[in-house]
Amino acid sequence: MTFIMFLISPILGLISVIESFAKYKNLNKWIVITVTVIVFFFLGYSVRLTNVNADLVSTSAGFLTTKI
Amino acid sequence: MTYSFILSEAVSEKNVFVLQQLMLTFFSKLHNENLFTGFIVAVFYACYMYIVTTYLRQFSSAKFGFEKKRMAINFGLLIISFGWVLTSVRNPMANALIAVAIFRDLYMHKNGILTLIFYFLGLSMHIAVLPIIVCRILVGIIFSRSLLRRCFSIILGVILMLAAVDSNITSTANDKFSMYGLGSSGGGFAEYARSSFYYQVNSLFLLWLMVLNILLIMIVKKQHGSLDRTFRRFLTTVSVLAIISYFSPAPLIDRYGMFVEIFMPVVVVNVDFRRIAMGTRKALLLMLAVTVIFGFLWQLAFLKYQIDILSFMFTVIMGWLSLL
Repeated sequence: MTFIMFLISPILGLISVIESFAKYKNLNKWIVITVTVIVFFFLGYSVRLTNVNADLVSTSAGFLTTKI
Repeated sequence: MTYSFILSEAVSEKNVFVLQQLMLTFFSKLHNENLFTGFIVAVFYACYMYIVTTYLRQFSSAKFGFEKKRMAINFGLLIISFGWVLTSVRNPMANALIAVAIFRDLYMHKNGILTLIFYFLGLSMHIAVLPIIVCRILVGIIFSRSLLRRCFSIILGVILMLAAVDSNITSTANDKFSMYGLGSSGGGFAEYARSSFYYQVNSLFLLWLMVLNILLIMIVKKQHGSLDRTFRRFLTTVSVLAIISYFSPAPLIDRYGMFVEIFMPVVVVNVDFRRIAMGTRKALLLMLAVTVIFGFLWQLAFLKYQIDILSFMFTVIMGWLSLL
């Protein structure tokens, strides 16, 4: 079930795996952690930064060039 | 910039904070910002999930029911601001790595090489976690139950002190303290933090969370909850540190507040709501509900401020298809 949810949308997959973790004793915690990593990597990957304020100057390419 | 150059320079300058340079070099070579933003949040939330799931796994469903476990995991996910993790880059990652080290050390009592590696990784990522480690050592020396654990804290403190004297930790910490510490002007960062609306709201929200955290810890203590005594005192100390940092010349509560946020689900799950009087229980649940709702709305507001939220939502709803 989690797997199907996961295929449809990562967020639904995360919600579903948290439910299963809370419900079933035998679900390995590393499965939950792996799903979290995949989902949040996907979320971070889909972000398109628009507002370049002081926070973001330090994160986007500007930082990479000035810091190094 | 080659990795070997950075490493040899770090060795010759005795630079502890080499991990951040290596990481930034690696991601600047990829020429894809999205891989970096994905990596940051993945590291942070992996550490968060590791702590919460490891904690909850120890208890049977008789102690913490299904609802409570689910609520605890989601509580942290809702109050920790995704956008803030994304844009603060090195600091949340350092906080998360140190949180794992602290959890393994103070709660699970695993003082192996892996815990020390996490301590080093966290410190190497960002200098701002140094006060947290100092808190850990002081709490360990003063409040540990057994003599062995007290000795371990002293040994950790001596190792840190030797490392600090022999490397650039002392000089970097001094620089930071004269820039942000008591009696300073707070630097350009303070000016920005005071003028930014988003920064102010975030700091106030974190201040509220710290007060709530101390309140919850007091309730757990009164109920003789299963939270380890040293661990509880450590969390109180860091919460107080975060509150103090709010009133320092440059408001640094987002550094230490975020660290405490990672552990808040562990505290919340230990509160036995059935044993609280009806009126107080209702007030407490209302407070928690308002905190969670505000935390979630605040996350969305902050995201709206910094990213193209419609395309983001679209990507998320479309799921994997949009990655292709």
